[in-house]
Amino acid sequence: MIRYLVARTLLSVLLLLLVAVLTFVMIHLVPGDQAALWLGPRPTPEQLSEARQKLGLNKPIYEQFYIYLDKVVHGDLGISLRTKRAVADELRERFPATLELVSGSLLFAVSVGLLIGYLSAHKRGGLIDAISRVLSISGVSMPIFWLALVTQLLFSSELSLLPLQGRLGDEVLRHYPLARITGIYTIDSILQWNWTAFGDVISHLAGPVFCLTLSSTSLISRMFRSSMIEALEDRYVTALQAIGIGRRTVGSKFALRMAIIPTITIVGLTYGYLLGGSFVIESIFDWPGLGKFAVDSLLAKDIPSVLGVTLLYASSYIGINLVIDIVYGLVDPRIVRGQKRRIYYG
Amino acid sequence: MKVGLKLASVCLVIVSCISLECRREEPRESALSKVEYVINWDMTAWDPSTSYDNTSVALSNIYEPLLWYKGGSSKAEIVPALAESYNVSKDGLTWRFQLRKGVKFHDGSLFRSSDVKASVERTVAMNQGASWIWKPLNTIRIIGDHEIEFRLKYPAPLDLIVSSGFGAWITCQKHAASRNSDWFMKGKECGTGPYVLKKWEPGQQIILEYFPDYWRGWTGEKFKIAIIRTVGEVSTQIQMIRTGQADIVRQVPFEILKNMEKDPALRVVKYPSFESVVALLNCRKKPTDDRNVRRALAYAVDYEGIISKLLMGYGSKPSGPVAKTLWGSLEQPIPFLHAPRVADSLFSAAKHRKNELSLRLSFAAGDELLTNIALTLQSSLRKIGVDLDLEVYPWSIQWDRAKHLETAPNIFLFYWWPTYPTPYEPLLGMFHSEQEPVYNLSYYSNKKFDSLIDEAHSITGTNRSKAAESFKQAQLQLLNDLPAIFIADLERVYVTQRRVGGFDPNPAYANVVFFYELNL
Amino acid sequence: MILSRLYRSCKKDFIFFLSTGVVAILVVLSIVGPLLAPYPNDAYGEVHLEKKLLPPGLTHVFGTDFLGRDILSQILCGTRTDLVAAIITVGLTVIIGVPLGLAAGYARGFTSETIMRLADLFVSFPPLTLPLFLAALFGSSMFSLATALAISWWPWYARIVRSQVISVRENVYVEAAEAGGMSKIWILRKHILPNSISPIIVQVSMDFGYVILAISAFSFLGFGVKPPIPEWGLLLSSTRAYFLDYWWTMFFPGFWIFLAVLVFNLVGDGLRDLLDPRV
Repeated sequence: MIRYLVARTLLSVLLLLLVAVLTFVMIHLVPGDQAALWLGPRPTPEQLSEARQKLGLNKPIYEQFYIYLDKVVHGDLGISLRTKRAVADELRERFPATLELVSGSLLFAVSVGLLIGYLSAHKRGGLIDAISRVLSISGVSMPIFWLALVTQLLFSSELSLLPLQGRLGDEVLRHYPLARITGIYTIDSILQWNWTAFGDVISHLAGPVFCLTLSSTSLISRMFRSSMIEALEDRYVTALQAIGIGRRTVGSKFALRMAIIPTITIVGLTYGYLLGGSFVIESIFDWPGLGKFAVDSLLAKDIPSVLGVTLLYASSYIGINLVIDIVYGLVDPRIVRGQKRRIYYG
Repeated sequence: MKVGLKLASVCLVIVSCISLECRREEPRESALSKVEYVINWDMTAWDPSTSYDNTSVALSNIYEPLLWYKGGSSKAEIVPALAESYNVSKDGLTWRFQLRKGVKFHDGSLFRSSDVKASVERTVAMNQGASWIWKPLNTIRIIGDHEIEFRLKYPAPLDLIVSSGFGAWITCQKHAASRNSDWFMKGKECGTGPYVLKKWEPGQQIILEYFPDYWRGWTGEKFKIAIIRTVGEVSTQIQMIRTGQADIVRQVPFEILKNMEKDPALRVVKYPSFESVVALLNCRKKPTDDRNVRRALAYAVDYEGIISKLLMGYGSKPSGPVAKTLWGSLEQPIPFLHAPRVADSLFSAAKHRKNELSLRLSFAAGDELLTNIALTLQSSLRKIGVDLDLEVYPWSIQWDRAKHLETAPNIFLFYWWPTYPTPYEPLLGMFHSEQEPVYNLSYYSNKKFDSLIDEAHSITGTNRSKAAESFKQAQLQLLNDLPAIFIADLERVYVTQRRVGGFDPNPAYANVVFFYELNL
Repeated sequence: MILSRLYRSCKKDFIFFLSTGVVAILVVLSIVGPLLAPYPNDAYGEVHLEKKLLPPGLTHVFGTDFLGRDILSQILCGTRTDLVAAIITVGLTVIIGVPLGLAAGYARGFTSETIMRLADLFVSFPPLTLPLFLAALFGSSMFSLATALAISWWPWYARIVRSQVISVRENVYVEAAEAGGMSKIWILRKHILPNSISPIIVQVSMDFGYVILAISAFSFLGFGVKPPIPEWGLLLSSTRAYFLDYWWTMFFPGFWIFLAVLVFNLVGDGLRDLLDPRV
């Protein structure tokens, strides 16, 4: 087991390094002057050469990469060429926003998806199943930007149920200020017993989460439904039922456990999908998270920011996969043994 | 398991109910004393010495320069700000400013000439952003606590320079001492302006609160709280102004503006800006190196269509590279009009055969107006059998590609806006000979033109009308040589709630709303 | 044999039948679209400023956009752009992913591990990085977008193929063939590949809709084809600012995307039920 963990962890680190190298190389291939970006709209030639010197742009590329790597290991991700603030600060401020959005969406998608999938599997062919089939196929087919704009129009402008954009209203900011503990406003407001802020945060979250999760919820419910059906028809389950163990017990105890494993994979995939979809949602709802920051930086060729964001995303993704692998190992020991065998016999 | 899920869903419902209830309990405080300005730019450049982007929207309310430029008509009007009066020597090299007394900074300290010296020297030393406007400066001499003297290396219009929209703000000596931006970048400030930076939520909003000791005082119905909110999506901005959540917006698409003019709750405020749309024609690249081709292109642009149907009337035909609202501009609009047949014959007269002509136009991604103008031009040219290829890149890449002749396009379409109000700026920036092109992406090089405008600039401080004449001559030269097509002078349009009064946008400070001047 | 099963499925499931029909119509449209469009030139750059933003009516069934171009024509001609882009993307993904998956599954040890780690590498990039890079490098175009999507997508296909190969590999007749001295490539071609194809077909049919959505989304953001080539996402992106007052500019292209993706997903779902009898 330990060997398995160590091997997977080392591989993950190597992966991260490769991502960094590739990103560094790719972004240097894209034309655009870093010094010009740093200086602003009308740089003079002297300002440009001074800036190039200061930013170390005259050094060969591998040296620049080495310097960068050295700084990263010490926690310094450089200074954003666009905003002139430390990249680490920018990421630290924006990461919780995206985390809140994506985790909230994941939570919603998993709980609602599992519920719907479970109900559809048990009452196969019934009304719930039919409705869920239509909804889930529609959910997966909907262009997310269209959905977001329509949601805004309907729930905010027409019905005035939800705020149009942002994470917090300015009145709450001024009269019920929220101190930043984790940066995840839902948690922070609970910790500070600030219920007005909590309400405001939830209402600001509702629209973006709804748009982001529609397709994931559909996917998860379909996946869980089919794996539940598969599990319920498995020989072992039929045997248990033959012995006389009730259908409900069988469903909740045994079939469930068997159905969970493929669903874990889907959850991992969903996380990746949500991270991708979060950009569009962040743009339309002015959610100050990483997605928007990432594309603004990419568009402006703000190298330190791009590298910072890429490393963050890659490490989260790789990290999540590592966790999932570990969970797999715990749930199904055969995998660990399989891994061991592979390491011994190369 | 089912029980667990049921419990979870019940919890969810309870939580949502609580949150909706809590929202309603928010005190609807007096909305009268608050004004909200919604824009789509992010503001992060808090250092007044180096800031050169739209953070000026906030900075112009927090800091003040020595003088203000009141633009809008062809006469330039200089308004005293932190300087009450000034005079200049005959040779234009020595300028004396008499500073206002009794002005306080936000931290309580008193404003003195040492603050001015420190601020300007800091801007020059840090050499970023708009610090280049101070190039003519030689030395600064403090004469008294409220009098200061600037000595220049060569004659230059210092009054225009100190009224610049960037790089001219005065901050207190204490914080001007450091040569890095760390303190400012935390969202701290030390200005004399009417508003204090109360709260900055990056990427979301900036809350400004009134400064009680402001030197102009607080009589009348002025706004005590000003909020600048960053909203990236234009459709959201439109919804906000229509539902009353925003008080001022600036980026409404022209088509929707027309509908808003009919809305009784809103007021559409338009003013002629100093900004224009320019298409620089590459004079060193085939086929635009041929003057006939350039003239043909000038006749291929549908000026009327663009102004009436794309700008929806919020713009006008330019007179040249200098906006008609700025002093020193030509009186008549440019002599070109949309004449496809003239264009056709000019193309035929060109050195290259018409069907061999391949033209490339580049513009920055993400801008509706430029996209539409490019598509319209492409369509017009296609009708006379000429192919126009469109290149769309993010701005920094578009600019970078144009700076190298191999990757440069034939037509570089972009916006021009001045940093400080003089014709010298557009003429210098776009058409002065450059060894390494910065903005002279037409690669135009005319020594006579260069000396004409350089000389005009040197007498701008002392003999403005003579300078204006020389600038006009230079522009006529450009209209003859045609290194560019001047497509439209832009009107800038704001939409405000009717209850917001006193709004008079100043074209010299693009996108800035001076909240102090508003009233209920 | 697959076709006869398809036919029987159509008879049983009406929705499947309908969706297959619509897909066929879309494919036909992608070929003859410009011929059917009432104003084909509008889709390729002709501008009519006088006819700007007309609501849906008799002359322009879906109305006109901000440059006076007929929206219906743009949608019809855009069918070709989107379907071709989707085919290129999926094609490239399969071309890269399947051989790599085969190699990873059949060869053991180091080769297999390397390929799988390579797959992990490409999956770890933030979702938008690659398309943005390629667009910045080569300019926004259908090809750079398709390539970028294929590069980030092939790992999924490689993984599917690999797990399929691993399960087939254990079969008796494969062992027999190996014992008999048959070359690896022959075994791959004769035994392994045919058995691995059906999950690929299922995956492709289910992914096709998603690919169209991705292409539209990236074009919406500005990283796909450049104007004036008609593309559904591109049609939507320019309406972002006006749609509040001119709903038809946003509604029809958006709804069309939704419909197209929906039918592809339904067909994919049906195909999966067909080829994967367990569910």
